[in-house]
Amino acid sequence: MAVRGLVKQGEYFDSITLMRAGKALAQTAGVQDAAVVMGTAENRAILQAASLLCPELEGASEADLLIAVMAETDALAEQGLARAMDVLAELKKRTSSNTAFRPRSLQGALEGLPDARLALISVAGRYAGELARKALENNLHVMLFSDNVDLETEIQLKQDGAKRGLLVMGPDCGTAIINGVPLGFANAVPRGDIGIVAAAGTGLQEVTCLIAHEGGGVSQAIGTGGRDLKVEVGGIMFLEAIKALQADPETRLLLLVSKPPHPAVLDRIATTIKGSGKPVVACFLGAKPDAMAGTGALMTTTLEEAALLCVALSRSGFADPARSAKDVKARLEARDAGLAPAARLEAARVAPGRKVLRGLFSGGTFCYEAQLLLGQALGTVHSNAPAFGSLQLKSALHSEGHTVVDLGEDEFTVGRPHPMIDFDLRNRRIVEEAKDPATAVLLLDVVLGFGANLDPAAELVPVLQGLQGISVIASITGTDQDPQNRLKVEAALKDAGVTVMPSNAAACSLALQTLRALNG
Amino acid sequence: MRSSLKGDLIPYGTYIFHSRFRRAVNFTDGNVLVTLVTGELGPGPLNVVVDHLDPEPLGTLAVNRDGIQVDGRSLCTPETPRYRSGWAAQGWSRESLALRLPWFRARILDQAGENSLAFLLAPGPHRGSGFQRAYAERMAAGAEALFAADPAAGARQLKGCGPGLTPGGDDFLAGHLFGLHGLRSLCGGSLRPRLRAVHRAALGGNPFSNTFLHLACLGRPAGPLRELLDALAGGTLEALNRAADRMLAVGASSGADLATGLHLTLSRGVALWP
Repeated sequence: MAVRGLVKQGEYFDSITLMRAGKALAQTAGVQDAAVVMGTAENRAILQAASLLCPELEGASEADLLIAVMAETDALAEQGLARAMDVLAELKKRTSSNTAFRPRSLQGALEGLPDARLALISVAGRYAGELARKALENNLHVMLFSDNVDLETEIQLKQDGAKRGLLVMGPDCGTAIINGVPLGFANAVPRGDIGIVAAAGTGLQEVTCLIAHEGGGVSQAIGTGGRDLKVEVGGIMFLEAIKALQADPETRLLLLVSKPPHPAVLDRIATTIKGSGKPVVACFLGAKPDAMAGTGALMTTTLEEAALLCVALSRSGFADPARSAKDVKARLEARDAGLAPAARLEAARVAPGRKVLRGLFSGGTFCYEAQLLLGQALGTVHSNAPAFGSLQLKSALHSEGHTVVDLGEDEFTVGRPHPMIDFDLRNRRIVEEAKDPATAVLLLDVVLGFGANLDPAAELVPVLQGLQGISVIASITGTDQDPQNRLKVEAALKDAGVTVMPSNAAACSLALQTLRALNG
Repeated sequence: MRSSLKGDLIPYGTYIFHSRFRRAVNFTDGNVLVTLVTGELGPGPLNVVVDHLDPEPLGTLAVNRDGIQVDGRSLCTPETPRYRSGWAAQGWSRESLALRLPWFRARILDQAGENSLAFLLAPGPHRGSGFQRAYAERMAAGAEALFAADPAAGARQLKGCGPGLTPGGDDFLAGHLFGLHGLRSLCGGSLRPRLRAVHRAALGGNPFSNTFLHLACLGRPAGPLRELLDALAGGTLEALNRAADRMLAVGASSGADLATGLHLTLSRGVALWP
């Protein structure tokens, strides 16, 4: 075994960065162990205990950064050190790009980029409103990624935007695709003729990805923020976005996605789309099937159905919308019916006595849709974000019976990144749920795309590989063009024993049928 | 960039740029470390809280009777309010700790990152690469030794251990020292020699760590830690969780490591020391 080391002077990184760098090195082919630490005498003692201390490192000072690599051969150890240099150079690049000149005001940014048409604002909530107001005054559309903007400010901004003919997407708008440019958490999807308005972040990601898988494309995907369809805001931006897409020559078909709007807002949406001249598909998760009666809009039950219907309509040239809707429903029913053998296989993996479902979601819309699809069939379901008759969990940290958890809720995200980025919390919860002798099926979402964790398979696989006696079913929201590459993630999860389904709705269907096969 | 609150222990002097992180920029004169922080990190005895951190490279911080200047630009005046870091363990009792320490432990285990020292609160087999196992074993042995007859030996095992600018072992020791401070209100003067012995043994060649350890020995907490210490005296579960979360969000793992040292010291100390 060969051990090689390197000393770097004047380099400072936080401990997590160094731990991750060490972990990345240790996972390099041929490398047996590695560490990247500050050169304290005590750290050198630990390196010695781990047989990683080599002569190159012995004279280092406390302010030096030490890199140690143990590999099968000298050549591999050298390669490991070279990889370490690359990793650190990349980290340094990120640090220095943070300190490069950046405009310090909206005015400064506009001087540098006078043709800009949109401002993406992500600052502390208390400053966001004022900045958004200035952006509107400068004739810029606004995507307000920030949350904690008060309702009154949101209403004022949206009224102002509507008067000026400008969009105000948000606050708390996590995703949008404008003129082919993904903003916030979004996926790499082809351009096409389907224009989307959504008040549900992961819902928007799911439909855009499913449209892409089906061979369709997206003209614009406009997020409005979750509060827009509440009666207080009145759907101001949802309506403005619909009008914008109606006027957009690239958009031939509109898809509307959200939880059920307030009835008064729904009326306004109905009035706006009536006679618009462009076909409309609506997915208001959990709304009554006749919610848009008389408008010509086609109502769908799930995000998947909405996406498939849009592509079917686009392909058929909108020849017979009712027929397309019927065909898509029939196709999904046949798919669900065909899951019975797969469900029996899943049930066979489950150890005797295990009977309940545990859904751990990083996307809030998925948790909501899961309750819509599973709630009635399973009887009592518990959740930290209950909907459709689910019961509130006594503690979000502990499951009870059938449970679905939205890990993106504030109780889990205070002081840590969103679970789409940081898998630590969910990984620990997965282990806990698997230890519970009642857990039969573990239901997961994996969201890819810009802004999400760059290597979700590396995060999940080590945890999932160790699970025994339960069925693990997951859906992946992403495309093969995303930075993570959906195909690669899917292959890795399958190798780890996970059954990967094409959508959240399909994953829910398989989970439900597995439980039925188990419980009779 | 403007400051609305400055620490009460920042000495006059000229400090040069040391390192930069997302929410903090450190300056040092070789002995003391003064830090510009955003409101998220909050006040501290050596912190200057600023409205935002300028993205340009920063060079020199001057502290004098005219206030504080960075690269010649005024950050604050002598009249700018000071954060008062003096703290006494008011309202602490064995009963209040017996009630709240299990809450605190659960919160640490639930919220601390996987690379923190929180594993010391839930002992089990050490996993990971050879280096990670060696690190974990040394930390566990050092933490145990802190409560034995020669606590300085434990401090020597822990100090300087771990990656990062402030090694996890040093953060843990700072939490231990704050824990000893709190316990003095229950155990009287008997813990003073232990406090001094651990402090002496914990000091090393890292000025950043030495600064934190010195403040811990003096019992001068920064804002998030003060909030946590007060919540341990008589806070509701919600208040304690809020304070713990704020503490655990400090640094990459520093807050979690300090919280682990604090918890272990309080829980072991209450049982060990009358």
